[in-house]
Amino acid sequence: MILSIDLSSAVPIYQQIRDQVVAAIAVGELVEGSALPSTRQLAGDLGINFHTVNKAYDLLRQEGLLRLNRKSGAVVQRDAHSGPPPPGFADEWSVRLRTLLAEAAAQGVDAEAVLTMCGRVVGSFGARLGGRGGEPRDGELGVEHRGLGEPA
Amino acid sequence: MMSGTAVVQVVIPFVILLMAWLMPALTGPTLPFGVRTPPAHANAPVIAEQRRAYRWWVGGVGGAALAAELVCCLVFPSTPLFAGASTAIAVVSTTGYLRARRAILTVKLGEDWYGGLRQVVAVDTTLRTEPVRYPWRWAAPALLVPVFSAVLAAVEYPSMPARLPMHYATHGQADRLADKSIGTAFAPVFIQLALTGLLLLVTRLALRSRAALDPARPATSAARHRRFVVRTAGSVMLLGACVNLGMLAAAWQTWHGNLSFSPLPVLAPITAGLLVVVAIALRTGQGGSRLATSEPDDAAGGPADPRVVAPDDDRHWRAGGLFYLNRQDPSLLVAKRFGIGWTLNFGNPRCLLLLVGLAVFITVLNLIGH
Repeated sequence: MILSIDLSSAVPIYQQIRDQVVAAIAVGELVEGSALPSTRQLAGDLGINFHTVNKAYDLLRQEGLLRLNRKSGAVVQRDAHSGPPPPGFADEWSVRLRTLLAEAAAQGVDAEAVLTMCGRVVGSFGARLGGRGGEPRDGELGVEHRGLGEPA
Repeated sequence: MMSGTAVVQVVIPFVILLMAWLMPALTGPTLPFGVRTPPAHANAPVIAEQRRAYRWWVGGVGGAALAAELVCCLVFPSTPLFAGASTAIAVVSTTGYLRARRAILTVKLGEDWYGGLRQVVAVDTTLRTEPVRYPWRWAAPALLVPVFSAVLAAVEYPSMPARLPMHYATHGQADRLADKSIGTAFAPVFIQLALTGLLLLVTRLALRSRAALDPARPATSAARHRRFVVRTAGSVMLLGACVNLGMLAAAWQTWHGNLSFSPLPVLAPITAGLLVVVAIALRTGQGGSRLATSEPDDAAGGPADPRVVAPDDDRHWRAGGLFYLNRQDPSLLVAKRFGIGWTLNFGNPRCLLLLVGLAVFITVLNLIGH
C-alpha cells in the first residue's frame, strides 16, 4: 500500500498512519495476513521518530486489526471477510459516527445528501471486495441514520 | 603508445570530467544542483540558466585542465603519477555547483516556491514487505574472480620465485621484496576477498535504503526505484569484478617476480569498469529519473494533484548541500542530491560506527599489504 503522510497537517502523524491502514483494509488493498513494514523500517522510510510509528501500530493492535511480532514485523489480523466485528465495537464506533454526522447536520447538509455520500463511500469499499462486505454495512448505517434524524 | 601511467593521468580525470559535466542531467528534474524544488518550478528560467552556465564552466575550465594534463603527459612521458587534473576538475565542478546552487536558492526563497503547497512523504510499504531480491547474478563475477585467483595462486605456487615483490615505487620498480610464503603469495587474494565482502555489504545496505518517492506519483516512482537500485548495485558489482581482475593482473606480475611493474593490464579492466558504470548511470539517472515508465499513476486515482509535493528538506543538507545531517531521521543511507547513489546521514549514531569500521578495514588492508 501507499502511505502518504502530510508532515505539516494538523492531524498527528500517528493518526494519519492509523487512518490510512484502516482505509487500506476497508478497500481490500490489505487483507488478513498482509505484511506491513516493521516500525523501524517505516520510521526510516518516513524519516520520522520510530515512537510515532509505534504509537500508530499500537492503536491498530488495540483495535484488533494488526498483530505485532518481534520477528516478522506487523501483520494484518483481520479484514471484512474475517467474520463479525469484536463485541463492543459497534457501540464505540457509533459514538464517533454520531459526532461525524452531527458535524454535517450542524453545517446544514441535508439528510438526503448525507445518506447519498455515506452510500457512495460504503459502495467504494464494497466494489473492491466484490460486493460481499457492502450489505451488512448498509444495514448498520440504516440504524445510525434514524439516530441522525433527532438533532436535525 | 600510451603507458599505464598515462591512462591514470588522462582517463581517470576524463571520467571525472564527463560525470561532472553530465551530472545536472542525471539528478532528476526536482533537485537541480541539490536544491529541492516543486515540480511546477522545474522549468524556472534561473534553473535553465544555471545549468547552461555550469556546463560552460565545467566544460571550458575543466576541459582546459584535462588538455594541460594531456600535453604534460605527451611532453614529459616519464613524470611520476600526479593527480593534478583530477583535483583541478573536482575543484572546478564543485565551484560551479556551489555557484549554481546559490543562484537557484536565492530565487526559490525570494519567490517563495513552496508557498501554498502540501508537503507530503509517500511510502510504498511493498518495497519493504516484498523487497528487491539481492542481485546475486550481478555479484557472481566479483565473487568468481577471487576464487579463480586463489586457484591460480595455488597452481603457480611451486613455480613462484623465492622472493616476491611486495611494493613498487612510483616509476614501477620493485622497492620491497619478501620471502615466499602462503601469506605473501595469497595476499592479493585476501585483499580481493576483503574488498568483495565490503562491496556485497555496502550494496546490501544500498538495496535496503529509503526510496525517495514522488508523492504525486508514488507507484511510478516506486517501480523506478526498484529498477534503479538493482542497476546501481549491479554496476558497482561489475566495477568490483573489474577491480578484482586488475588486482589479479598485479598479482600475476608479483607471482612471476617481475621487478618492473607494467600498470596497463591492471588499469585497463578498472578503466573499462568505470566506463560501464558511467554508461549505466547515464541510462538510469539518480533514483531512476531517466528510466522510461510503463505504468502511469493516473490509472490508480485520477490525475496527480499539482499541489502535493515532496517535503522541502534543504535545511538538513549542510555545507553547500553536500552533507546530510538529520538527527530525527533513523535512516543511515540516503539518496545523494547531486550525484548517483547514496550518502550517509551524519546525524545518525550508526554513521560514526560505520566510519570507524571503514578506518579499521583500511588499516587492516595496509597491514596485510606490508
